[in-house]
Amino acid sequence: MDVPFPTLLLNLGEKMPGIKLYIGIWLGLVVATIMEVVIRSLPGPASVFLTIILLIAGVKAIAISLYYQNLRYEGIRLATLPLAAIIGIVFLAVSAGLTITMGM
Amino acid sequence: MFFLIVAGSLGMLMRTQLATPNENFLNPFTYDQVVTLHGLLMILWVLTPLAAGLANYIVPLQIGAKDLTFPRLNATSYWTYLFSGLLLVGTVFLPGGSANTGWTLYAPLNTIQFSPQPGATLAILALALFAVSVTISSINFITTIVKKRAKGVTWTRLPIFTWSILMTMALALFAFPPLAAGLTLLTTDRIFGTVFFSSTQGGSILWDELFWFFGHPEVYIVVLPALGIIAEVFMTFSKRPLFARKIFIAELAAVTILSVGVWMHHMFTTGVNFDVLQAFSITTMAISIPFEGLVVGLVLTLYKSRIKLSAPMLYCLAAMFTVTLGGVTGVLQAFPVLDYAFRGTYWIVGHFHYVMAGTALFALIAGLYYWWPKITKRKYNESFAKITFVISFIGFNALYFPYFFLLDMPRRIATYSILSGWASLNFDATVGAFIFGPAILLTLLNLILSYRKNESSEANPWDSKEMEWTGDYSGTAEASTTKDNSIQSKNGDKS
Amino acid sequence: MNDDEHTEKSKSSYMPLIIASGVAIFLLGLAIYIPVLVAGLIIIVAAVYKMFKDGAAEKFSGTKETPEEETYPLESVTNEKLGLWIFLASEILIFGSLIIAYAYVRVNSGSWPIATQTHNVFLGMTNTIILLTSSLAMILSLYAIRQGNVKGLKIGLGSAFALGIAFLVIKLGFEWPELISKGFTITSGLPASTYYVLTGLHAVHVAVGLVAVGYLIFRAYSLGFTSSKHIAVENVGLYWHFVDIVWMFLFPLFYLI
Repeated sequence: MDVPFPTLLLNLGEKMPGIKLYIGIWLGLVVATIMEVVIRSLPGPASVFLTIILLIAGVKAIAISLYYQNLRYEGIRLATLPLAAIIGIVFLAVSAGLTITMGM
Repeated sequence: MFFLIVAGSLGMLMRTQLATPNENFLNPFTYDQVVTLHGLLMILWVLTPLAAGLANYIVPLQIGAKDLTFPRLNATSYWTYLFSGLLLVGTVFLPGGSANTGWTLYAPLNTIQFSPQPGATLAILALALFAVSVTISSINFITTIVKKRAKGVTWTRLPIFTWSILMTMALALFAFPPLAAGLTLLTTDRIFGTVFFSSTQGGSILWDELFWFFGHPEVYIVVLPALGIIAEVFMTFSKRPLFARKIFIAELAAVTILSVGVWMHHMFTTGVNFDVLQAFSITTMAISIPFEGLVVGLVLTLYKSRIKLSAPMLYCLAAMFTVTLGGVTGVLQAFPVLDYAFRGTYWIVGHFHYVMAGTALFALIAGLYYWWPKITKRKYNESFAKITFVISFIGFNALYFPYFFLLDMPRRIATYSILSGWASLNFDATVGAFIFGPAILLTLLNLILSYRKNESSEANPWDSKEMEWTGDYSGTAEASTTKDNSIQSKNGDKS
Repeated sequence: MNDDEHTEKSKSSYMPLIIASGVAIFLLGLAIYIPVLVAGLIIIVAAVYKMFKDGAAEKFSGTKETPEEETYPLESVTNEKLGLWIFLASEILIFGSLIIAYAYVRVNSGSWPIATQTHNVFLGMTNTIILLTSSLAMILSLYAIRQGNVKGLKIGLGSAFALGIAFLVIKLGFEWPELISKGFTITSGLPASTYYVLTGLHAVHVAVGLVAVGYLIFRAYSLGFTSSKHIAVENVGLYWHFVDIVWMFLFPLFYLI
């Protein structure tokens, strides 16, 4: 698969952050993972865990998406695709969730 | 086409069975399989692919691309479609037959406990393969329309059919994954013994949620290309630009986006949380607004113009008639209260056949006729086409109009007693089927015969100003749809 | 348009037909008879191998970007990348739907086993970190080839591949056997079913990703990549990061909550 013009390439997400940022993000992700496990083992109500841990998971996902998938530098236009999908999923989750009759 | 004939024959079988009360032509189990296959094949393997096939040829021509962006992916999408359809049809020959759940594959009938036959499992896998085919196709089309337009084909100049295909493919991208998810879970239920849908704690509702999140957009996937074709045909044969073109495109977008938000109206009678259902009732009514806007826009395009009643035009006019009737009956179903009366009756069957077999199929046939000279460079017999149109239209209405009067007859029943009083209407419908079915075959015959006669058509027989006919993409000549000047094209035939 | 009269590579291939028939036969076997399934698998594997070799030989033309095309608003995105992102959108929807299904059955059921007591959280966390590191390796390999650093590319790809294998080995070789021996099987109830279906599907995606990374390695050692010719590295990377993102959610949803 080849890219024909060098001129075109200069626009192709050529803006990439450096190695230090990548490794920094990685460290953050590892720390966040450990935090998730630690928080789980703290005493407290389950619903609080659920929210906090899932929030951390969300932040991790966004970090990977922005930096590793380069969406931060490619601009919002490309990001509309996954965003639209996420909105669809949230909508399905909310409407399906509202129909749940709480467990027997 | 093959699948159209297969599914059409299944429809004929159904009508034969229902023609008279207490009929034993097909036993109930077989009848249910026929119902299921007829539905699945028609909606998924006939209507959607016909549109995609036309689009495959016409969209590149309309935007000035040489081909779709990913030609081998295109081939993959086609072969998986073909094999998935063959697998589905093949299920009939397996021991125990095919799926008997209706095309909606409701739980728990779709579980291994209530439909143990391997044919049902294979049908579900075939459907999953089809979902893969459609996803590949949508990736291809969206990339092509976004990135492979020729110079001058800006978004505002993009032809309406291409717009409708873009919306359709985007909707397909959204709709099929939840179906695939549901099918995955159903497959593990059936093959590995999980209990996702047989659980008594909401198992069947879960299926409904996943299926209809797909199912509703799916029917818009069927109807949006049809609207695009009607717009194109109306423009060419009335020599008028589309009325309020930008609003039309916006309405197409509105319908597309809203169609993701109306699906729970298929669950009005399931007994779930009523407030949620109310919300969906509102969205369902809301979607009828842009949809009506589209219909009105199409009608206004023709207003005070000189209409040439060619075969494509006739089919499109018929499609407008059916979409009005189908749409009105549909809006009535937007009310949960009324839905309790309508649900699972022939009223619903009438509604969707009017929009799908009527609008979608008629528009697709119109599209075939309209673009036939472009695709095959042949001429079909115009008078023959007009005659088959008249027969089709009469047969279609004879077949489906009675359904609205059968609104207390449940769907998917294999037979009925003479005391129900449904006998005469059913008989009329069957007569209609035996007119409509052959008419469709004659339509196909007309097209096939055009090959044998080998009479080649001129490059732009309808004298259309649209870009796929003139080959002029840059729009340096005045935008093809606004003025009535004839464009001298350098090379009228881009293929 | 260009000088592609004599340099035009072939656009037609038998692979679509063969892959499609392989998959169809696989599904047929899944429904009726396992040996047929195996036959389908063999066809698919053979086809993929052939595609490896074709790709390494650049036998088929990629997509052509020409400056005259109208491409607003995504001018700076290659066709392949756009195609991949569209595909990822559909993947978001399928995993999202499955996670919603999991949440649905879980909320609907009265009781659910405690995650930290059923699953080995340490192994889960290790796997999470392994996958994160493999993502780092992928992005670093892309960074390397952008600078023209072929050695860096190979090290990055190789590490990502090895880490991916490690992920699967830990999951399938240690976690699952332990769970199964405790009676936590796919049919032992909804908690187990949801776990196996979701993590299983994820594992399949990891495996497919490994095949893709394997292709990159194969090609890096044969035809090679250059600093201006490496779309595949970027796109496989995007897919790989997506698989990682899905795991970011699956890990807490199944191991912690």
